[in-house]
Amino acid sequence: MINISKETKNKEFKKLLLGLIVIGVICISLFSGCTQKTEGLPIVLVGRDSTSGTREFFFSHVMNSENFSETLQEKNSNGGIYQTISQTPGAIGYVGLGFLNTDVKALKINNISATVANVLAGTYPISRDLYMFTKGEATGAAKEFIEYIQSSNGQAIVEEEGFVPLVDSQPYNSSGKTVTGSLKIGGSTTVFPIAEKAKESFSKIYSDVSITISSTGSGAGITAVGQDTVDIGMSSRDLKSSESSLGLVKYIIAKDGIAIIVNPENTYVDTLTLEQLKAIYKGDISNWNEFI
Amino acid sequence: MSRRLPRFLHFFISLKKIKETSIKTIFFLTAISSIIIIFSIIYFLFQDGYSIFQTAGLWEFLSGSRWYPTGTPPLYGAFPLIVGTLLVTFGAMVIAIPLSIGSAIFISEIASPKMRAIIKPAIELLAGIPSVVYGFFGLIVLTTWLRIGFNQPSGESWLAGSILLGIMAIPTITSVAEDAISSVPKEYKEGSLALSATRWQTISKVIVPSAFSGITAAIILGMGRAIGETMAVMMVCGNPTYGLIPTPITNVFAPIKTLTATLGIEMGEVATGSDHYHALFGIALLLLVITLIVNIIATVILNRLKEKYTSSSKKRFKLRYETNQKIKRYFFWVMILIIIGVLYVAVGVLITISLLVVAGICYYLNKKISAKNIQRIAFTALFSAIVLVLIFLGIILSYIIFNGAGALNWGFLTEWPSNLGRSGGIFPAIVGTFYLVGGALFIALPLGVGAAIYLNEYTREGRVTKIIRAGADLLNGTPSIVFGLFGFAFLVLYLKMGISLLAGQITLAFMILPTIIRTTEEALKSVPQILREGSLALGATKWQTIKKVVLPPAAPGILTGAILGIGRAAGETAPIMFTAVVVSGFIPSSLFDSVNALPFHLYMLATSVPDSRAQQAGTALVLLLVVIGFYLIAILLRNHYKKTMKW
Amino acid sequence: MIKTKEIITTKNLNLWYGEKHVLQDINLSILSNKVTALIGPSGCGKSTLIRCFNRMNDVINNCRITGQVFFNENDIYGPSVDAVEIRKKVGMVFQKPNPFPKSIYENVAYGPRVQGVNDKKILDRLVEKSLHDAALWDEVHDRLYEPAMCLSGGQQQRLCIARSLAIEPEIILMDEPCSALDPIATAKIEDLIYDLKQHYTVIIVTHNMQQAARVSEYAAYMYLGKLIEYGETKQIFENPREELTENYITGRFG
Repeated sequence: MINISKETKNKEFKKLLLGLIVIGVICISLFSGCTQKTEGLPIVLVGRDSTSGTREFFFSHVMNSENFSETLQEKNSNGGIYQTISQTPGAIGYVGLGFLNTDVKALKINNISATVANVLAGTYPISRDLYMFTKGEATGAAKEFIEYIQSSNGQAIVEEEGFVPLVDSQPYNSSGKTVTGSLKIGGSTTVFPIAEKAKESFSKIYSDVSITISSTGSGAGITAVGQDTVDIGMSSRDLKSSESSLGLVKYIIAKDGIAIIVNPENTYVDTLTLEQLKAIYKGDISNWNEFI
Repeated sequence: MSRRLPRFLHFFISLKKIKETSIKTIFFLTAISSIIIIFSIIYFLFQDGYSIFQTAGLWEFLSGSRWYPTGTPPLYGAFPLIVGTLLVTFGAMVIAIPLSIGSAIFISEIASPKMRAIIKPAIELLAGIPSVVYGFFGLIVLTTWLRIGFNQPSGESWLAGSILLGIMAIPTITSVAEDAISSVPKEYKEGSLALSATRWQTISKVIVPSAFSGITAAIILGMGRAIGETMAVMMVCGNPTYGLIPTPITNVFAPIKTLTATLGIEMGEVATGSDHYHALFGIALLLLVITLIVNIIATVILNRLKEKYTSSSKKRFKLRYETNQKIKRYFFWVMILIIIGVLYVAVGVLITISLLVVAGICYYLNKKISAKNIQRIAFTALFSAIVLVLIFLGIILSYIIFNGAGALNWGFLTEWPSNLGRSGGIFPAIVGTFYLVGGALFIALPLGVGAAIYLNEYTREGRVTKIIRAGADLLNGTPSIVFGLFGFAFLVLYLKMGISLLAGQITLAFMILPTIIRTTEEALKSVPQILREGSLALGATKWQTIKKVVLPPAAPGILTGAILGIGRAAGETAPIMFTAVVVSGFIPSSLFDSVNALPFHLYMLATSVPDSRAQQAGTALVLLLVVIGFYLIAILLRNHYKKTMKW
Repeated sequence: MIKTKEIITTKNLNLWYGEKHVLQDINLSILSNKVTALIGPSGCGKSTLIRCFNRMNDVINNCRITGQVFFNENDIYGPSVDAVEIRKKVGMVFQKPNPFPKSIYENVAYGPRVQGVNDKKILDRLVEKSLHDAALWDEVHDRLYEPAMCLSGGQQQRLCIARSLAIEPEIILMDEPCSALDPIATAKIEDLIYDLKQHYTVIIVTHNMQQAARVSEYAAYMYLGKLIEYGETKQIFENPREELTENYITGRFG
């Protein structure tokens, strides 16, 4: 009455075990059903967010202002794109030349590789200027900083960071100048590394100046300089017509090629034409095996 | 024999009176601060957001199928973003609800006291992990696992976001549900056991149903948290441009874009004052409204719960039993049919049938197996829930510790970053974080403690306290990114503070205010009434009583709240992203300089600086240590306080 | 007349809550179909003792027990004994009425349900019979589906008795069942106890001397965790053997 006899216990236990095994088998089959095999390597489109200068450039120069595919995944920085591409075999993205390294593979465009030399020679088809803006003519610290970047000292940094330097720059001359105060810089994530590194060496020349740089995106940079929240706005695109009334002065500080990058595991392609690139970003080509 | 009091004493008394009233007024002002804040948040969001409802039209804004604010023409359709938010939240709840309810039941009903003493703080620590650390883990580890494990082209998906959000919601749901389950009267449990019910039958038939409304509230609160979460979601969900509704809707591997992620990505780059800018504030307003509704529902349910245990005889409209049963049965079958339908659409015929077979087997087994074996199965399931939660915790912590420990050394902590943070240290970020939380606490502590003192000492429960508490609750439920937008619109632009330390401190202060109010109130409530009466009876004024009698024993409790607030503030990214931080950190020399902070530094390294994996993990580890350190101190302090304070 | 037997026997029963020695060497035999009252001052271990009879002390974490408790000659603290099986045979009514927050019907049907009875007809019959036996049927038969919380305290306590009758136990333990009730409700419960002993063995813990004298046939006096005296109620009250018992009964202390 009080004890359940051992036999019934065992029987129930066996039943239980059986039930659990059945459930387990079904779960496993369900799981394997979910992970269906895919043909080839589906393309994962990665791009910048809608306020990025790189995206606007890409949109007008590669897409000819036709809409992107709806599956385009947005990252709010070049590094974010780089990170995703290096982790995802089927991914394709676009970043500034400065972000290239061994974790990703840069594709040739129209059979021309994305190198500084090719951009300088004007043969690489997707390249643009990088800018800094000030409200009115640059003065004081802002003027010196921009001059420093445009000088050969600054352009060395530009090259070191993988961007394309301006031709015939002169060495920076600091003799007799004193620069103090604070300087706020904000804007394009593409230009950011140049400014940041320039800051490091600029601060060595003028130890009394304090510089803060925020990387927020070209649009925000232009707006901020227009509203005087920063002294210099960095941008990877030129002013739009709606921004022409802000009274900004433009300084070209470097050139940049936009590299099309894929994961190193992607063995399907090494080169694309601009048309193919556009087709990919429009979503007309959705699998890398279409290139075999 | 009464003598007239000397003149100076009269003066003294009236002075005392003035002092008392002015103190009361000050406390009242601190108390209504949370209401003022919540209203100004709504006001500023509305002010900056309403124009989009005019330009795009409210209905188009809510129902438009594309979000493309920079297109020509710009499209402001928030519908896919709303759907994205709902889907991610739904997925998170599917993961979090069983695990956290299971954990809550396990902690309160099954675990031995020793086990409870370990598991409970562990789950509370899970709440302390900053969302950017979750995001970092998700971006580097989880998405890769999903991509390889399910053979998908990309792991950045709805599922990744749901898993992360699910894990993040677990501590919230578990702790509130655990409170609800623990507060079920012991008599119910004993009554059931005495009627020869097994422990599991007692739990499932008496305890959980009695705690049902509390558990519901817990779920809703967790849901509110999940809806408002920004950083983690933004980092792992893929964020398709235009905002994409997955096709089919059950495709969990599709990338998804949520309301919060849209704000997080686009806010930093948008041109102030443009239509796009207003559209983002429209999104924030929408987000705020959704979370407010969710939180109000939870608050109402929790208040009902309190009433239920205090006044039992309140009669409510009741359906006749038979009709009630009938409705229940119809509802049950309709739900079954809906589930079958959804399954059919989602996974096809074969799997649906096999699932039905499994369900049938389970039902059959349920009828056949003795109560004792059901208990065994149930306890195993509950145990595996808690184990799973602890495994999550273990994986995340060990990943960050193992990867971060390599980067961690004295130089890393004390040097300035160089080469974009790829080398050098994170000293400015550490200092910046402490400046931010220190300032936030400096602002929030007086406000919060003052409000709690007013609520607890100066008023009776009534309409005023209800409104003030509701204000604090709503503030508590407001998504952190909404604080960020508010800080940007109000402090940075309207008050012209610029991106500054001060703006960040104030924004964070607003965010941690409700935590401080609540914990201080609890501390004050635990001081017994007799002490106050004793002091008042000796002729002390109210303020003297509070200062000399009430506050000293409540101090450790208040301190605990303050430390919890600090922990929360130190880990937050979204509120400071637009108000205080810039990448290039140096130590600010005034309140109007911008700063760098650990969570933001980690976010920038993880998303913008390639080749900095070691620094990322190192920063994550330092951030984790700082935040968890604060939480640990708070938990230990609270436990110690609970043990030593016995009235 | 039903034959009485020793239904519960304890042998050298000792119980500790942590370091506290709450029950010391209790040896006691309780007869079936009788009402046995446990009396003694507060904290003497009466409630703890009856909670040993249905193993309710299992719920308490730091509780340690030595010795044996035999129920129908089976040691209920034996290694292979399931407490749930014991509680099917030993029902319990608590000090404070503790109906579940469910309907009256569901409260009574709860016990049979957890034992696997799902047939509505059988449940209906059991509920009606139990409520009858607990003298509550006439008061609630037209509102069985209303929440049990709507009943008065005395009704709630009778509902709890009905609830424990529904699982058809052999013994009903009552832990100060009337301490939270007014005199009228108390009288009703006492009448009920009188009726119950026809079919059940009742063990009742009470503080109320008059109540013990009124309802019980046997009484046990406990003091500081020890069983001082056990015998027929009449003898205990009129002619106690121990001085301690006498002091307590005559109200000299306690």
